Amino acid sequence: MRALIAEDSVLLREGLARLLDEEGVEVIAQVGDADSLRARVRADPPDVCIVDVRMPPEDNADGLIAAIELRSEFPNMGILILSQYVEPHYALELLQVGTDGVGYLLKDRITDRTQFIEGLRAVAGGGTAVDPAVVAQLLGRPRKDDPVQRLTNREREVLAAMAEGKTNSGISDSLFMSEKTVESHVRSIFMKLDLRSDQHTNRRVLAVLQWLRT
Amino acid sequence: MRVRSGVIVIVAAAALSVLAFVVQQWSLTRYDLVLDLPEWLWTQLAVGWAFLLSGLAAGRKRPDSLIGRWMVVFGLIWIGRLVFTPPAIQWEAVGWALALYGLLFVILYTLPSGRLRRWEKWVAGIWMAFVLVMAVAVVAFTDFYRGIDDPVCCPSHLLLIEDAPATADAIGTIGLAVAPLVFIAIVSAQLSRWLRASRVGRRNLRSVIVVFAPLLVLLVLVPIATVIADGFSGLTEAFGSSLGLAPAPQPTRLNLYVQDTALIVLPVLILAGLLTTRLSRARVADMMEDLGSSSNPQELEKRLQETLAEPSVRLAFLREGSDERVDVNGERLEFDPDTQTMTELDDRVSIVHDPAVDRGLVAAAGAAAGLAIDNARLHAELRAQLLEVQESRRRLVTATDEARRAVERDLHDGAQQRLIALSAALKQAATHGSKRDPAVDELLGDAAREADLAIGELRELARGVHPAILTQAGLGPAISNLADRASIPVRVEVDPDRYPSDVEATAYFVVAEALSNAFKHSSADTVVVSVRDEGGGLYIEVIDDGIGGADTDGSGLRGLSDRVGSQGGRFRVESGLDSGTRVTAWIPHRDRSR
Repeated sequence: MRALIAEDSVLLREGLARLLDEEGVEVIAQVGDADSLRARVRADPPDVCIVDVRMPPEDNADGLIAAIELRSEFPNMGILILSQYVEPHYALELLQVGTDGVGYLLKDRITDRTQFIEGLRAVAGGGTAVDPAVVAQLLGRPRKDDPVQRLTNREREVLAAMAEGKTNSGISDSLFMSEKTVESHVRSIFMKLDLRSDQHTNRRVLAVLQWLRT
Repeated sequence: MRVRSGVIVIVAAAALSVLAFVVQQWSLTRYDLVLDLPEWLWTQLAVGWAFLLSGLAAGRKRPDSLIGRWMVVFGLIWIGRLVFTPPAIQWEAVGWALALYGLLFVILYTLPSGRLRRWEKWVAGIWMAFVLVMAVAVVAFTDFYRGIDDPVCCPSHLLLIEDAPATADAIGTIGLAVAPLVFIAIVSAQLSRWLRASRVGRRNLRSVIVVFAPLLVLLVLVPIATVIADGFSGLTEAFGSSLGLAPAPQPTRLNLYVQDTALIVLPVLILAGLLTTRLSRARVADMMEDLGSSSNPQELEKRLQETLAEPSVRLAFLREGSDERVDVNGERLEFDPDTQTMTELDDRVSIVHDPAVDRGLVAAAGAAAGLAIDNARLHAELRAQLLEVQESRRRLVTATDEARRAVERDLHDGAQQRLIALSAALKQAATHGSKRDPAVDELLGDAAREADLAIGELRELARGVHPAILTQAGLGPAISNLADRASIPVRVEVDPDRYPSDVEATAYFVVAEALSNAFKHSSADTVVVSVRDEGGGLYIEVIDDGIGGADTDGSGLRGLSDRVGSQGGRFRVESGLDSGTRVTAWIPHRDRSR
């Protein structure tokens, strides 16, 4: 797997590069601002880009904007956004340009090596990864006559896992239940939330997150 | 107008008059025409001289008004056009139109000051050009010698394209349809000036009535009656008939006769009007006198403008302990010595005005207003200080915001990244493990968890100081995030547009504080937040359906009120018992000095 790192903090960028190197991921370039990110990707697109939301030159959401732009130019390239912010808005913006091979993780996840590499591989492999903290914030949002409250505890766990981008088999692994059980939970959740069921795992993420946001 | 130039004008006009007489006589002999030339020429010369002399007199007696100059120019064009005779006769008609419909309309519109403001100059210029084009167009299709079999003079004049009475008629009808409309617009403008003026101001507008009342009857009715009776060709023929070239239909000649008489009387009326409203020092003082000391500064300035019949008059006050001048509103006053004059009333108060206004009159008006001007000065000084305080209040809020943003940025770029690196290192150490001592591994694990907690807390702290999403994505996503983290359901209806950052920040803090109050004290089931663009500002509304009775003097709401006030906005809390709480704010974002 060939990866590109776009992160303006030298400390994190180099730490990340070392980590990936140790995990056998080839880091083809490290850049510190949005413009170099664009230039490097256009010159030689990697399998996956790891991009910090906030970067020079404007020090606003430059990284995210550049990533969304590159996403439409290279639809097969994975994009993993790293962020300091628990912001569903950014996650949704990213997913709205395409749900395959994108991820939005907090920078904290870097500290848990296995979890981070798992997320990176999922994104590089065309899957989706949304940070559990973002999902938790959305799940916790109070709603009038909240349908989420009508879910069983188990169903709520499955809903969170779906929103994080896990596939049915991934959910069955992490929650220690059979895939059949997962499927039945998913059906029940979709019915209770009055959502149209979607078999496609990645599109399912967007549908669930959008439902949770409104 | 100075005496010297007056004499030059008279000499020039006299020379033109003599020339006109000679040329017209010569042309009669040359083309062997039999006609009542003297009657026509005398009438035209009388009109020209009436304007010329009245204009000179007006310029003498009312140097503040430009009407006199306009009248002199009218007279010169009117007389000057008479020197044109075949084969250049067309310029006579063009000059006639230009003076009558162009210049005269300007005179009537600008009575009594004779001044055009900036956009009015454009309009007047366009109107003049229109008149010129129409006149030339009519002439181009009119053979003034129609029906005269004279090989010497025909083909008629130089501008003639072909003799097409129907075409000339059509163009002329357009012109004569537009002219009354413009005249009506002029009358309306004068009428609205009259209606808007105060009792004192109307005294200066009396001249307008003296002129317009008789004029309305003559100037509108006569040409319209002529056109209705004969069509435009009637006027053309009337021209011919004046020169004795064509048989004249009797009613048209009568109309023209009335019109010429009106044109002789008109300048005298204008002069009379200007003289009845002539300003003298005694009169100016008289007009200012009943003002007293009670009226407000803006009213005082308006009264000065009306009394001096000059809308450009401004009061200027020198600020205490500074050499800055401010106007009646306490705002900085720009003074341009090239186009304005400053008449000082005392060492602190002056009146800025157009150089044409007599400084003696200005000083008299100012002196008569004495006490009121003193009050106005104090008022302006207070206003200026208030503006300064408002400005510094706004700067304080901006500076606070900037500082908050800087702290958030520093946390993001510094401590947060370091803590993440620290946590990663600790976790790595814990997993690689010091195989011999489990206690150390446990300690490392604890330390990593503490670091993770610190990362979380620091993230919340940074958010509270200044939410980065607000700068990066605007109010909508920032407020949605507040709703995510709420303890009761919040409906968010936020206009997706972006606004100046200080406006967004204030709006955000208003919503955040109102929501936090609602969560803590209202026992509400739902809260509705709406933000929309309204009346040049951002309108924010946070309504809950709780128990009401919010403490509007609490430090949180008071702080919001101050903050909104510093940006020239409004803030309000309504919280009756059992009727829920409604927090509203309006923050201007357009037409701001910054």
